[in-house]
Amino acid sequence: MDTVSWGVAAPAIGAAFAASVVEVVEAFTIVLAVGTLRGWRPACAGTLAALAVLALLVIVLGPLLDRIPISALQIAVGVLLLLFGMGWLRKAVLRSAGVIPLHDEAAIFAAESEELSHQAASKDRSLNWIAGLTAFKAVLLEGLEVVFIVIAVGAGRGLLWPAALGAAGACVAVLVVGVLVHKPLSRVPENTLKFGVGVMLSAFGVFWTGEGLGVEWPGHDLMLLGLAVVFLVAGMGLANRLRQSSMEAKP
Amino acid sequence: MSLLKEIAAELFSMFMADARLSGSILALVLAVAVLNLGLGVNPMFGGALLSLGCLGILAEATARETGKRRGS
Repeated sequence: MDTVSWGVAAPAIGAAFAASVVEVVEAFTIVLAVGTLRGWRPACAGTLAALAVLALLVIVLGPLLDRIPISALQIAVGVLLLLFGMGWLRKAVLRSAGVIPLHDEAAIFAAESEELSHQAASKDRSLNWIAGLTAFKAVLLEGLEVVFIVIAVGAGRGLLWPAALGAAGACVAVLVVGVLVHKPLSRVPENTLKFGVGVMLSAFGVFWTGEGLGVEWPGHDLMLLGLAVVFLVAGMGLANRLRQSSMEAKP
Repeated sequence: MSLLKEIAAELFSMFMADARLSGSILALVLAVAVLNLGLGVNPMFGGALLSLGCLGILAEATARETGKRRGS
């Protein structure tokens, strides 16, 4: 792999890793709640079933990507990345400015545990089934986002394997830390990660969409890093300005 | 059935969490497509418009949400 390719491969691996850490931590919190309350059998069964569905989706949909013309693929993936990445960046800016509260894994763990306990009181016989389904839903829904991110950052330039490697690395990292800590990973700097991922996905979105529409970016692949810096500086500036205006508005 | 509904809702919220933000992005991409592919304007102009337009949309969306939350 030459240096120009690394200019795109490294952000693809980094974006897939960071985004996957956020999603896997969210899924891990719910699986942990299920495992702690109802045992690891339904938690693992639900998780494995969801992973099987996700693998099936990738196996079925993956080869279809090769049949789509590259410019159409770049526009489609670029627009989806812009919608997804700008949404994340908007939320991360608002959280960083203190406008909306930070994501709290400990609170989610408590809420999920309470929900399962409540269901236990009303439907005891089918509780293992409900617990397994809860784990299945969590892993499937968060996993769908991981699959989308891997495809989106990887498909535009044949970087599916590096992006998948980043996502797999995130799964292993969260699992290893989670097994060692054995409680919700509430100390993961989630908003910082989301900020970074929003920046990278937005940069990829502008880059792919532009390329699909015939833009020849100056510096070619390295422009991706330039766009990321622009989004990062703009996002931090916006968060700073909103934080300051919030403080001025307080009596 | 409710699982399918939840998956559909999750997919929808992935891309359309803020309808105005999403609508603005789609309108911007459409405008750049018309300029670049339809009118044959210098593609670099389209690239610059896309980049700056996204920053403007982000600034508007965050300012709007902040104003809404302060007002409530």
